[in-house]
Amino acid sequence: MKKVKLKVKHLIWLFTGIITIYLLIIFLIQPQISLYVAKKKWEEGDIAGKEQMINLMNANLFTSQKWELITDYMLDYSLASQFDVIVGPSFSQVSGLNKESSFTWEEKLPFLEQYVEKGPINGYLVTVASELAYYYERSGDYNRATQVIEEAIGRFSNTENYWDQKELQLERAKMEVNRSNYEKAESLIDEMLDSIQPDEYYFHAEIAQLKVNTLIKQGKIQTALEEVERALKEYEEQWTKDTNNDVLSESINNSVVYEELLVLEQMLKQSLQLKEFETGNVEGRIIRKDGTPVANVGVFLRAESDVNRSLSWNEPYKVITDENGYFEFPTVIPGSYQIFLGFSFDQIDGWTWPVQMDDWIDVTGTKNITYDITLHKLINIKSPTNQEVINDQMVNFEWEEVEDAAYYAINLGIELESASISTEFKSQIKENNIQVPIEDFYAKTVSMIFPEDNLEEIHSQSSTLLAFANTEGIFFWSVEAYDQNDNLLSRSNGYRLNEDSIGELPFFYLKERELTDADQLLLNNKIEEALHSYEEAYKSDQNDIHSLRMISRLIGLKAKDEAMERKLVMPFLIDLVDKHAATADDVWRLVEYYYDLEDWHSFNNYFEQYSTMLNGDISEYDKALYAKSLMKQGDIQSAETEWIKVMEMDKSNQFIGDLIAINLYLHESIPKALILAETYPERSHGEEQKTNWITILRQMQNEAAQTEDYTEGLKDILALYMIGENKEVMEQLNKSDQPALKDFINALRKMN
Amino acid sequence: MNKERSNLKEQLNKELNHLHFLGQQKVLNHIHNKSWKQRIKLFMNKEIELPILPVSTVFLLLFLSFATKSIILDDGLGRNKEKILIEAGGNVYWKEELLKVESKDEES
Repeated sequence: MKKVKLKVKHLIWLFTGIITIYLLIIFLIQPQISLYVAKKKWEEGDIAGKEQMINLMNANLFTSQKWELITDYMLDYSLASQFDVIVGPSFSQVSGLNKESSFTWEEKLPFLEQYVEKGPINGYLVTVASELAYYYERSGDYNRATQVIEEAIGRFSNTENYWDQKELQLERAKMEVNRSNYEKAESLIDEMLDSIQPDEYYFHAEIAQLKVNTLIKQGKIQTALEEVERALKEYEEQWTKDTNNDVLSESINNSVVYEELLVLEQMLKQSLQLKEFETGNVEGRIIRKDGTPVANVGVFLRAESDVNRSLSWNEPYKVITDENGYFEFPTVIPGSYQIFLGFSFDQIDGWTWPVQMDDWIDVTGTKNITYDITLHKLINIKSPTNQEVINDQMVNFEWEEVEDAAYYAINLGIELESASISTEFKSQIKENNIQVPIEDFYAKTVSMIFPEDNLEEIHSQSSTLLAFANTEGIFFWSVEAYDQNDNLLSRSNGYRLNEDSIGELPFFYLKERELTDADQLLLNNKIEEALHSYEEAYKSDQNDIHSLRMISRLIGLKAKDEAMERKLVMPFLIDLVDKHAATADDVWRLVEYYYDLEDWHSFNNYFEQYSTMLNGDISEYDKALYAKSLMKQGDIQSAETEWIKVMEMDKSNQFIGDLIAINLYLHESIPKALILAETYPERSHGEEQKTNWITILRQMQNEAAQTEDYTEGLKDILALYMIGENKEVMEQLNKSDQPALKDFINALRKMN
Repeated sequence: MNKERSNLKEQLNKELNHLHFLGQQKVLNHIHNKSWKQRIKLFMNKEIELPILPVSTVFLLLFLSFATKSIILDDGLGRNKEKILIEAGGNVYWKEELLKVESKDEES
């Protein structure tokens, strides 16, 4: 055996060397490798990533690396991510799709505490302290929340981070305002004011904003408005002074605090316009259908101007439900609001909050509003489920019965590669099951080609053009339950996150028919050839309903504009009606076509057919078109009746202008019209600026008081407007010297 | 006799009086306790013979066990699966749970 000869001392050196390297690896290199791996995993949504980070932070990382991990991975930076799911009337959103891998409060609490105590003194300290304080406030530990902020403020003393310290002091004062300790808040504000320079106007504005919120919370709307206006003026002056010689300076509107002050000003003004001088109160309770209260849900009361934005830290009305599920906003500026809720996955899993679009809360200073929320169990579906392949002529839908449900509605959906599309299928179903002929599926139009669609868009929708006639398509369905007042009770689709809630999968296949050659062409994105092939097939067999249908969906390919598309598609739609193969949607296309042509005979004829097909269950939008047609046909009395029906159904009140116009025309009374405007305030929908009819009518009232024959003149223009004589309306309007009247008519014209 | 002896001794002392033995300590050290430094030095410089094969095998095993433990097990590969939310059929599922149910359906 080979041997090596060496002195003992060399052997010892060798050992020491090896041990040193070993220790180096254990304490320096290995943590770094692990850290790298952990970060990678975290990014991939692997739950092991955060576990590994926690282990590393407790063991062998450099302190600086530890602080970095805290700021990079443990802070939320947005209010929304404090919750797993945000649900509101206009949207529902999961905050971050790999949420499971992020840190829970239990896990990150000790580290954030350490950061506040010993972490580097910089802007992050402000964020860490604020988030930590918010956590303690949420858990009801107000003392600790205050302590955290004060500790951080203390750490900033004698440093150069002047702004950061001020930011925290502001936070500290806000806490007192939130807890209604106005005196304490005021003394803190005074302290701050003493220490800042007059030219630090951004900070002055922030303090002013806090002052305004304090005044609002105390119910002093008029004083609050004065303070906002003062602050805005001061800000503008200082801004101009500051940016006078600076061409490159950005617009004043990019300044967050300025923007927020403007919003406050607008809300306060609006409230005073509505003659509301006191703040209102909104309270409620969140329970499950079985009566258990839901604690720790984030409740956000959001003003009309904010509902389409994502949640920000500056949400003025945010609370957490207490252990009995109660929440309260004691001092709300009068106006229109919507409630948004922040849930954890555990809270919402298997449950749904059946909130509908246009679910508004109108806060006034005089009455207390109670807005209770009941979470309902998701409806369990029974059939068809779990990728069932359907080969029969009839499809049997069945689902679990819902207590108090007056009727159900079924939606169908198509799974696409990276998205899905869903559409209403059947409504007014009285039982918890229904048999649907397969032909109804084939007839359901999901999409069609419009003249302005580009090739890429058309290709991306080839399978939705074929829709439920596609034997290769993966389809799904969901069901909704409504009570007799058309309020949504529950639905089958929602968060199904664990074994118990996951239920049956709503997927199925329809393989009763066989794909035709034309269908194959379509699925292969050969749209033109497909259309040609459908046309040939229909020509040779006039009973080929499928080809007829497909032509009606694809013919837009040949059209240059919408008018041409309508002209091209009409004969095919009429064929469908004649062959009793048209769906309500097909008939509706005819209704719209004849509306545009102002061919009232055909319009009325098809509208009646449409109404019969739907058993009179017509949506508010369709009814609105009908009401509008009555106006144009000159049947003003019937139009008024129809508009009132529309208003009762449509909670967005977007058609109120027309009802006001008719009312003014028929009854010649502005006060009467004002009552309508107050009963049905127009809601903001999407990005569009809504019209404040109340303000316009009030101004018209003033004009009428000063002008002779005001209502007669108004009536003349309205008569022209209603029958759609736009040119004449403009001519009359140009002659008028009444600004409010002009505003009114222009607002009416904008509606269309 | 005794007297004679002591005289002799005396004489010898006289004669050797100018001679001084300086390496006394060294000799003592040499035969008696050595200092620990010396002992270490001695030990350090001691030559030993090691068989290459067993020693390198031991080292290799040690290294391998360390590598396996720290790199494979600590990283937890295959221990935790990804948890991803997906939207399908109008519902929101954990992907993993959905796949589980789907594969169960396919079996039955």
